[in-house]
Amino acid sequence: MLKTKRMSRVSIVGSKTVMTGVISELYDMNLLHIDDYVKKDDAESDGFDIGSPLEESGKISETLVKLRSLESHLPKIKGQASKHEDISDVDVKISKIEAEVIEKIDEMTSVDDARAKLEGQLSELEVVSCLSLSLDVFCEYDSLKYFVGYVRDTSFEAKIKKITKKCNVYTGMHGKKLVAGVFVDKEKGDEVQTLLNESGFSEINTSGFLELSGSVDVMIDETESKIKKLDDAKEKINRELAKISEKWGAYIKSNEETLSCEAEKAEVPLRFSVSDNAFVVKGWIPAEKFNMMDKRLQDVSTGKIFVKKYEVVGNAPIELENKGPAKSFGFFMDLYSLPSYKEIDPTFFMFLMFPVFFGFMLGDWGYGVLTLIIFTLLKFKVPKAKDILNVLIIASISTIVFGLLYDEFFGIELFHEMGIHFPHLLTRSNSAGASMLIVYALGLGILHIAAGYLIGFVNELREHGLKAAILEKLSWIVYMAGFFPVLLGFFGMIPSVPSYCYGLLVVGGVMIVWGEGIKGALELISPLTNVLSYARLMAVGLASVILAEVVNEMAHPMFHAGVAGAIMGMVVLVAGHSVNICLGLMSPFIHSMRLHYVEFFLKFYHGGGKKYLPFGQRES
Amino acid sequence: MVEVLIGDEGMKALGAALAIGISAIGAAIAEKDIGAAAVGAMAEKEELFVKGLIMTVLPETIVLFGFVIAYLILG
Repeated sequence: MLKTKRMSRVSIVGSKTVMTGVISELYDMNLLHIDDYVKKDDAESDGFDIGSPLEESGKISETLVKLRSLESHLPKIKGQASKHEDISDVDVKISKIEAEVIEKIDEMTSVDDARAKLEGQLSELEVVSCLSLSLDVFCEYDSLKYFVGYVRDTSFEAKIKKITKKCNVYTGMHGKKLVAGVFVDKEKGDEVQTLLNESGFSEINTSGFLELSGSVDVMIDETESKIKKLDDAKEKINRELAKISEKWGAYIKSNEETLSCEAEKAEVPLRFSVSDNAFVVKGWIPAEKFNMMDKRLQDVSTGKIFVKKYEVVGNAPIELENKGPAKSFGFFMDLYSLPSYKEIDPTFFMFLMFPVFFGFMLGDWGYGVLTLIIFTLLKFKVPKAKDILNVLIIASISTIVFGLLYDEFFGIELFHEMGIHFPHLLTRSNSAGASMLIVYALGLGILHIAAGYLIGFVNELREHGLKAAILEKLSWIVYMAGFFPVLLGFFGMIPSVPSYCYGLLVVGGVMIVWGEGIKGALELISPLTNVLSYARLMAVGLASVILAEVVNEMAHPMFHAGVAGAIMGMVVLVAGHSVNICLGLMSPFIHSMRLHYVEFFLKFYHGGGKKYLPFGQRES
Repeated sequence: MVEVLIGDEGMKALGAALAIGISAIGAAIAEKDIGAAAVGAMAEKEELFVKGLIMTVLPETIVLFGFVIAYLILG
């Protein structure tokens, strides 16, 4: 429980002739965490080199690429997996499907291109339609040049008339913009262009109109119907693709999965070291599985293999080993950093204290019951988020327990209001209760930090021996036992300070400086800041209660103002409490997490473990 | 003069308000910078989310110091 799973380091040496079989067996066992072989200098490598992928690797990858590209092109694939087939059969079939799909996709591309072109033409036609001109006028002229486009104003017209008489100007409004069509003498073209530019001319591309004739409006209708036809064609192609997807989808998907596994197997020799005739693979397996693995490998290779177990040296991969509800709290370790192999796995302590802190802060049994129901339902809906939901469910139960201790139900002291004398131990509704609460919070903090040092003591004892453990960890507990009474005495919060407390303070302080040097001396004030940090347990909670009370007080008068008022009141209550629950879940969660990660873990935790990822583990 | 107008209780309340208000501003300034850096780091490497989150809430303790002082003043 407090240790991570015990691992054995193994090395497997075998003849290359049995390598494929061994790889398959290892993959099926899903136990060996492979350490990649890193090639050293030629002199040191003793004829060993990095292995090369199995023969069929290239073929597998090629087919896999085809499968994946098909998967991305076809519409949503569903259906059950079909039976396993030989890779060359798969490749033949897939190539056929691919050819079919590519044909459809090419068709689709050309339809899309044509449609985009027509869309462009349509929008140009719509602009030009306001000029009430026939399309025949937009043709190649010998002596005329024409400009069509948006302009800011019509001031250019008078200016053009000044330089040439051969000029026709048509204007119209397209939406809110002014559109002008100007036909002028070709020789004056450049000058007219300059004049138009002064009026903010922005040209519309009319080159497409050369092939068109007749009325603009008729042409617009025609273009629209062409676009409609292309849409139908597109629809048809999509239906055909869907048909392919329906027919082959399951086949593609199941083969993609199988081949991904095969590809993984085919490429794993890249992590082995090989000589001319032998291969070596090194890695880690859970200690209790060694004999089983040895036997299965011997069987599959008819004895042409040698499996050796070493005493643990170096960093073994980490698999957390917690049982029951504590298992889900491993989630927090994944988020932060996995423990190293030698140290205590703090998941269990987190399981003990995280819900307490959470409940202490939120502490409202109405909220607790509601969130318990929500998270339990969510657990069935979203099985992927099982771990965090389990954590939240446990936290909700703790919220209910603390809610009953505080006698709070959606911000109301329900039992008290109902005249039931409920013997609640804590209260947040008056300042005396709140003062007590801050004392409890800080007390909890002192215990939590002391527990952190205690775990640190055990870790240090294992790694660096008794002297270091006493000087670096136990010293802090001694120091704190003196520090806090002296501090409280200084502020006059306790009537008298027992004299041995000064002794503990001095002895502890000296031990710290001895153990940790100048860094320790600088940290002597840190217990105070660390413990004050636990005041958040009360402060965050108080904020949440007061918000709940504010919502209740806002809604209360509305219920005395007729039916409409009552409806408004309900809306305020539901909205207000929903917001408060969201905040009330988020901040206690983050703050409990922080108290563990910062205040607690820093007392003992090293972390930095690498996750145990056995070869063969499939993505879930 | 001011004391006469506000009175002892008022001065206490003001003191408490300043203690928590100014410390909250301090924490906010600190969190602003850390938060921005954390988001930047996360854009590069998503696994840094938790480390970023922890770093970002670190200065919140400053508000708690203010809160405790306010509490002592009022208590």
